[in-house]
Amino acid sequence: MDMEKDITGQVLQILPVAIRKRVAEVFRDLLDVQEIRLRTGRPLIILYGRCEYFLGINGGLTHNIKKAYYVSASELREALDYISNYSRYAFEEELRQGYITIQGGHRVGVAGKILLENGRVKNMGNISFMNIRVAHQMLGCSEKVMPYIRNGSSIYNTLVISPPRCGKTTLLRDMIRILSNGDSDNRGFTVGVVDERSELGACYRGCPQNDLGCRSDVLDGCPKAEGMMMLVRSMSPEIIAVDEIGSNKDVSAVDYVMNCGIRVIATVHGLDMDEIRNKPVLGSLVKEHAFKRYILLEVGKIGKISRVFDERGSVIYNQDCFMQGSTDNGVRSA
Amino acid sequence: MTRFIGMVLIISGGILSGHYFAEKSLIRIHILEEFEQALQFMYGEIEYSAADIAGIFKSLAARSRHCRDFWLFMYDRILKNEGGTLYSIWEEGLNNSGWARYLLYEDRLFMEEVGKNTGNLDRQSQLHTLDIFKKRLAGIISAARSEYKGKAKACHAAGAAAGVFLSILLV
Repeated sequence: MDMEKDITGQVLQILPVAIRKRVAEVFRDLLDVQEIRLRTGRPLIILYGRCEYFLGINGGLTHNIKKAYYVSASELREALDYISNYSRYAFEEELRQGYITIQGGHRVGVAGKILLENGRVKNMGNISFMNIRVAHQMLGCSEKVMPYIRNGSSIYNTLVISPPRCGKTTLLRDMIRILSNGDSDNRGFTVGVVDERSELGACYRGCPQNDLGCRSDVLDGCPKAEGMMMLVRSMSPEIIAVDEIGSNKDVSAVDYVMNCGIRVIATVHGLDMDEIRNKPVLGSLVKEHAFKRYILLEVGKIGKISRVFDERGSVIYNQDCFMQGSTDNGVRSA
Repeated sequence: MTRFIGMVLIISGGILSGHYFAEKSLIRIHILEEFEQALQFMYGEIEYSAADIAGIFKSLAARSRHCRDFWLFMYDRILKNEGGTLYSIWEEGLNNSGWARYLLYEDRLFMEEVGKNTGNLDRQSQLHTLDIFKKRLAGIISAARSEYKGKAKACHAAGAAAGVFLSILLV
């Protein structure tokens, strides 16, 4: 109940006053709301229970665009003021990346006029599009793969492979939580998390809004390669977790970390083992058997763990299993 | 005897009112000095950690003596997200602040200008703007300090003279 209130309050709080009242009238809580999209001069769209609705001008939800509530430019500015706590300067880096994480780990994507400097994105102005994505954690979704990555009192270096939007970050987040917390049979590990895009911890004012366990230290917004080195030097982690490795620097840092005797759990974009083997930089680590476990998520099916491989590429887990987990409100969901 | 007591009371009243006006100028200087410190604090927080404005106001409320109610008001209103720009909230805060009565019209305009140019700029511009405000405020404070001694003397003298004059007139 508190969680319902939290999520609802956190999201409502950043909506412009006029929209907030309408949305609050329609929804008792926002647990089943996935997205709220605000576009200047366009109808407000709510993605609710995997269906898209317009917010009605007279209240309620509608599919009829003529009865939809249209968002004004001043309302978008108002929302941006709330999201940034009236401190645009404090979110320069986030705006450059195109999103701001708010309390609760909800992510607000923004789009508008891009300002370039030397060919690179310097800032974003005239923000006219906003997508509020309501965060829903999936606690316990990695439980089935945990026995495959544990190695006595330690763990194997593990790589999670999948294309975008297949749930690898969600899986990694839950693995971090479980490894960090430990349980009656397994001790907890000190986990260093390099969260370059604030997707794992969804930190707000430095505090992770997602549950990453009690022994996790998070470097938020830090480039992966640099972050891994910093954690090794400063936080003596037993495991380092990092999302979406790919560049030369990342791979060199992973290699360095492994050579320091620290275990690594990472994710990478890819379709299958062959693709990963043939990646120009990461491939060398795979061929050297640096990673001992590979978790492959199935393409096109969000959250489906396809297979787990060992370092030689032999399948050690091949059950069709969706990432069954409980959302943080306690409801079982796929 | 009664006349003498009356004279003493009237002269004391004159001196005290002179002292009040002198004190008012001194409080103005203290408020401006505190505001200067606040600008410096804002500058430091933004430069070092790009802290958001609500957090800065909260910290300022904790360390402020004269303007505490203003910073607290700003902090509360920002967290409530009840509409309005930062400037409109700032202006409302200034209107509700008791200490604002000690300020001159120009001081008030200066403070409004600070509110107008806070929060909605990029980091570099925000720091640059704060820097300009700090320099301007330093000038205002230095002028107020140099005026103060003469002004205080004049207030005390005028108060005492008014007291003596009134006591002669009435008694």
